[in-house]
Amino acid sequence: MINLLLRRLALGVVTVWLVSVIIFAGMEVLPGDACTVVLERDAQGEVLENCRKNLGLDKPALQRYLDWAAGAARGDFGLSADGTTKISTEVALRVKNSILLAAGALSVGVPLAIFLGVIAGLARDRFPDIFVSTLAIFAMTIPEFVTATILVLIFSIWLGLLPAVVLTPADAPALAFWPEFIPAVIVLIMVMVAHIMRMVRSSVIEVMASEYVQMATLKGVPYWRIVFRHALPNALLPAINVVALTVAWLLGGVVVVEVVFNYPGIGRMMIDAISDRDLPIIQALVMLIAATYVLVNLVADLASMLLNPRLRTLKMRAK
Amino acid sequence: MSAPIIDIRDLSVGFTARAGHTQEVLKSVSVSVKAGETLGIVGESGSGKSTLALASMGYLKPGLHKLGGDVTFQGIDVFAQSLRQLEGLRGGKLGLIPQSSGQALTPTMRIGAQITEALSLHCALPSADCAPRAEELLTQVRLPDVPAIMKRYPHELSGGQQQRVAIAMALAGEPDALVLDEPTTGLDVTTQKQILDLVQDLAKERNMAMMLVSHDLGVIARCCDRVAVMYYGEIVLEGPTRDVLSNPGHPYAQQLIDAVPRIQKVTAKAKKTLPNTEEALRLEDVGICYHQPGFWEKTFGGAAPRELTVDGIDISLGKGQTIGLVGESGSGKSTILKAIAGLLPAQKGSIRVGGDTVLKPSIDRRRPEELRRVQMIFQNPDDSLNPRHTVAEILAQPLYLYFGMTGQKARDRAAEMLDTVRLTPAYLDRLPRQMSGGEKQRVAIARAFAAEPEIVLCDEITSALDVSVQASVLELLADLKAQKQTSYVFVGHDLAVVQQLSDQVMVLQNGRICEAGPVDQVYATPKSDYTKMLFDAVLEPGAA
Amino acid sequence: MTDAVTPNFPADRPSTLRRWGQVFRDLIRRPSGAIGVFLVALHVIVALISPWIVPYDFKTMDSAIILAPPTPEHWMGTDALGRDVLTRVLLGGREALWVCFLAIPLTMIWGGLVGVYLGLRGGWVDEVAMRLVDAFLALPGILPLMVFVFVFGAGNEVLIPTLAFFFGIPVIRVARGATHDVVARDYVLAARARGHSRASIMRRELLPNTLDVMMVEGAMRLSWMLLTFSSLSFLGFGVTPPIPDWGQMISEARVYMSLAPWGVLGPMIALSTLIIGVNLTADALAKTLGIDRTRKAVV
Repeated sequence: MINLLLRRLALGVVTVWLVSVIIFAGMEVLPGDACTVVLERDAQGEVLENCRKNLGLDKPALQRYLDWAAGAARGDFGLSADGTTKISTEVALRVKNSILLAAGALSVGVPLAIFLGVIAGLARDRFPDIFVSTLAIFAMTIPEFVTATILVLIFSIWLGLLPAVVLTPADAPALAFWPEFIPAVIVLIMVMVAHIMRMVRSSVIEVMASEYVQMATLKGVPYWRIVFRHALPNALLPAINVVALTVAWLLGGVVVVEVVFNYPGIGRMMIDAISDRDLPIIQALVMLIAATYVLVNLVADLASMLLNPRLRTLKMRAK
Repeated sequence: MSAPIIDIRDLSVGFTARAGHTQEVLKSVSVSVKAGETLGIVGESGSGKSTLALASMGYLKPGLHKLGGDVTFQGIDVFAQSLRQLEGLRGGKLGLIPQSSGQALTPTMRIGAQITEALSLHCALPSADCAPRAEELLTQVRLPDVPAIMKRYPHELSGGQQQRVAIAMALAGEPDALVLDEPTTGLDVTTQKQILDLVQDLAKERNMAMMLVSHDLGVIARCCDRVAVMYYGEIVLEGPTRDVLSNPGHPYAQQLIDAVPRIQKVTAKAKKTLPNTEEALRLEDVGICYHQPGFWEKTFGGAAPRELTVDGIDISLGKGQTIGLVGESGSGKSTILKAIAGLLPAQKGSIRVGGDTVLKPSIDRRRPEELRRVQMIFQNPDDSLNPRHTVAEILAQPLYLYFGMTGQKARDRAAEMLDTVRLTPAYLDRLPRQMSGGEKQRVAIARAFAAEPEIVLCDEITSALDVSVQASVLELLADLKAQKQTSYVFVGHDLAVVQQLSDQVMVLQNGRICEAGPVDQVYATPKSDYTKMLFDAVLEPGAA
Repeated sequence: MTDAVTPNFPADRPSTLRRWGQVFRDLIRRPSGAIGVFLVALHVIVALISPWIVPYDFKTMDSAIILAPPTPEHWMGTDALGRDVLTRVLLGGREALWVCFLAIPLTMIWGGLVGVYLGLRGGWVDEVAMRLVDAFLALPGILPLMVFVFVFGAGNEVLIPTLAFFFGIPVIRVARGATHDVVARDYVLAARARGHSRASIMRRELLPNTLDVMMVEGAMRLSWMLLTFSSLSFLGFGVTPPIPDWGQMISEARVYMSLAPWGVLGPMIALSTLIIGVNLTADALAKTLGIDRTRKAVV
């Protein structure tokens, strides 16, 4: 068990390290660097050289990678390309806002998705299932910016209930985003509920057709007791991994939704950084998001290992 | 005479194949079981025997409908009961022992919880008394170390133990009748014997009525007072077990009973010595580790060197002879086949074919000519033929690979090969899903023989087939051997089948040779206790 | 070592083409499949013939009729530059369909081949490759695409390979998983025992038996690729104006939504019906082939 845990952790570290290499190499290969961006047309001759010397860009690539990686490991990503802001401070603010958005979506979305998935799975091919499953296809296929636009059209323009965009600044306290961030949360919920619900549904269908559910029926166990005691603990185990991917997706910068609603999370920071060609910020954000992805999946693997008696004891034996 | 406990009258069950067309699975079936009596229901796959067993509990698999008839249990019409009433009945007075308890026990619930659940549903026990009663039941089914088992999860138990837990669970409701749906399929013979003994003892103790469904006439002969033979949804014959088995008087039943391989009695004197032919295969002190080191272990060492799963295997097999490998699951018999084929490289020892050629442990390092000489036939024909290829393409593979045949030449040769396994050339353009299990296995045999091998490795090749098909496949193998002087290494769990085909036999236990010798000698005078135990556990329809 | 080629038999086998013909017939017999195929076919046909049927030129501006409501002359009204919305809606799917229909086969071929190879190969190659795949999967979805477009421009010669590359990475995982399911089957074991080469086993045993999974996967990825393409376009990283594209049109018309809501409706309906159509088709295809891809976590 401990062995396995350490191995998973090591793999996670390797993945994060590979991401850092990919990003750094990617940014090296792409034309232009921080100096050409800041100096624009003046970027030539002595001016350019001086700028590079100042920013340390004249050092060999490996040296720069090591410096950057060492800083990143400590959570220090240096200054943004224009040299005005400390990246870690700004990123921290945005991360807080993104977590707020994700938390809002998850707290409603996950229970709702599981509930709908279980209902649809139990009522397979009957009205509730067909209704929920059809809605899910719409929710997961219609682009986020289309749903967002429809919401704005209805709630902001026609009914005038909510502001069309978030006007609260990035550094405002969490509570200040209420109720402005509701439309954004709704859009996110629609997409995530559809994905999770479909997975839960097939998992429930599979488990309800299993031999142990048939056995429980023939043992005289009442239906709802079968559902809650025998079926759901098994059916919901695979949902852990999908929820993890959803969390990773929500924390990984939901660019489109944040842009549409002008929400100051990391998604918008990312797109601003690209438009400004702010390479240090892009690098920092990607590292952060990749690390989150790895961490969330690691936690999900551990959770399913702990909750699934099969995995838990098998691994202990294997040791 | 007492009234029957389970009484099934003219029961018809079917499903809607397409709109307006109903396919019957059970056609007007009538059987009954009295207290203290055991009724056996025997039939081949697809005969509807499991459907009948579950229908006696008022349960039909999704998609099936009752078309007519009645099922009564102690005078109650089970199909007329409300769901609530059925819940009280099932697992209470009417218990089920399922086919494979490994699948039928809920994986996320501890054994103790599953048994106490049955108790709390069907016995008016105060919850404090449930746990002690559950332990009592588990002791009754002769499980060791009951307190520990109560805390285990199903997957932590062996197949036999899982089956015992299922029995304890059925007993929790103090049943008057038990339905047993292939209760010992997939268990080793010795375990099978123990489970059947246990069930019979319990039935006698409680004077229960039992309905035992099985494809195995040996099991039926051993346990049942009466037997009903099913064939495509109908009961073609019913009567006292002894009468049915000795004098069936129905062509299908006769055929079914004749097809069951039986161990031939050999006296120690009658043993023939093996003819001295040139050696075709020789294994010397072969050791195999089932766990092949993975990438991580190769790179970082890490895990301690594993013990050899199979060790000390010596085989000397003459041309045109067969060696039978027997043993219970986990004894390493299939592992040896894989090592000879090179699929699982042997860690030590040597494998020689044709007296001189030493085979490298791994396929990757064997030459095509060496590979050609050893061919393998797999257990399950559904799995060993590529579902996307026609028979012609399947047979063309060895022909091209080893002899460079293509086009019409390969097709003609493929048709010839089909002829040797007694299939017509019409099969050339069929896909595997268009053939029956027996036909598929014949194609697999044809594919092996297309390589003109010297040694054919047979891995339980008849265990996925019905008995009547098994008999004809065995006959085919014997003919091919006589014709082509091929040597077989035959892995089987059925001692009678192994005897029928083999010249030598090797009994394996935990990856080591337990006993080996000419087949007549081992069968007449088994030396080791383990071999004796294996023979004792064999159930045969004749031996009832 | 010698290698097996498919022998040319005079009498032909039940052909792959005929099988897929049957699959298609079963597919459109399902209501979801019928609707899906109808929507996709409609969009493809419109995209093919729209240059000849549109009422106006897509870039002609008319300052006299800015943000006009629907009229008999302009059925869907005009946009902020006075261009006919109907014309632009009819033309607006051409780029998306062109790019995605070209990129998806590339995606499935490169991802599928690499995945099947890794699934069969195993060992250190597999281990190293999967770490790389993990690393790429950890990158935030749309960001690498935006960076590429920003640096190299939004031409199709940039978009198609970029989309194909990044969409192919999760496909590697799926193909590898499907291969693991097939490799464990006895017919692959039998082929290995006979001594066929890796390439032969891949072509004869693995690819035909993973094809169903890959077709469903491809249909599903197509709907996501269309989604991604329109998102990029919405964010301003897609088609270069004045070439019309739905994502971009929605983004432009949003600004004037309170004045002229009809401007967003046309492209929104067009885009949504296309993606829903592809998705319904993929869903029905999965059911027809008996593949449940919702059960596995989406990567």
